[in-house]
Amino acid sequence: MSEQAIQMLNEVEALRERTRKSLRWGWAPFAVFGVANLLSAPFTQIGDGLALGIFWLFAGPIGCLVTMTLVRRLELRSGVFDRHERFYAVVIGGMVIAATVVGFSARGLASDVGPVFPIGVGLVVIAAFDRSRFMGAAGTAVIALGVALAVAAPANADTWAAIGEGLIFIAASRALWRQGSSAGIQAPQVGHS
Amino acid sequence: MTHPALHLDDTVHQRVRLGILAVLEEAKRADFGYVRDALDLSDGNLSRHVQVLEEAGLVKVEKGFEGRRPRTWLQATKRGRAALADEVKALRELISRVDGNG
Repeated sequence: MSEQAIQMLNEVEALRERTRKSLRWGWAPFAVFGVANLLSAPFTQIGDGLALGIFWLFAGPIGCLVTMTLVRRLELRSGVFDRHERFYAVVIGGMVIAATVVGFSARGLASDVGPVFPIGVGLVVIAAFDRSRFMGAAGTAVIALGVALAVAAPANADTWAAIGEGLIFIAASRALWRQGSSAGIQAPQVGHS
Repeated sequence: MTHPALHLDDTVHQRVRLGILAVLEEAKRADFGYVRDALDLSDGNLSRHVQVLEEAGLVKVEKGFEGRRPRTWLQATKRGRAALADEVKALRELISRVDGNG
């Protein structure tokens, strides 16, 4: 009886793990916003930040729409939909709003580098919830980038922040993509019992 | 104190049905084909077990189309998620009780 119970519990955990792995679409927002960050870099060189603000005014919603479309297609293709969509939307929305508020309300270096921190913290929160080490590493790297830029205070810190964040996102997207592609874990043979 | 085995629900305490609920627990909804492949079942076998779960109010079945392709979506209900949690708890209690006696 005990052995059968242990086997059933192991099967339940294996199936839950397999389903969680099938939900790996995390690479998509990283890819979209990684590219958006890199594309934003030239706008940091124009004027007093207004051009960058206008860029994100368009790139933000378009990026969200593209990400949602991509995620929906991936879910339809895999046949399994994420039940934590609302949580991710709330955290990502919070990240974007906090970054925008910091970017517009702060001045000087704080305005250039400050928006990086809410993004990094948000990623760490999602990583903890999702038990994703790559996402955790990306969040930590974004926070480390912010600290490094705040300490070094280089000229054009906002350009470095955009490029750095873009490259971190692209690397995270690639790592998550590879992880998703190689996630084919064996299902328990429930059907042959 | 009652024996933990008495807390096992006959509907849920069956490997395939427990497996279906385990898959659906992690998802908002899952395609019939995904669950079939995940559990290595035939269409007919999965249909029978899904019907039992649906009649018990543990699973919701929705049929629809994606373009011209018909698709059947399965979703664990609130009761279904609670039933899985109760079953897992009962199994754990059973194991710890047997281990404690051994």
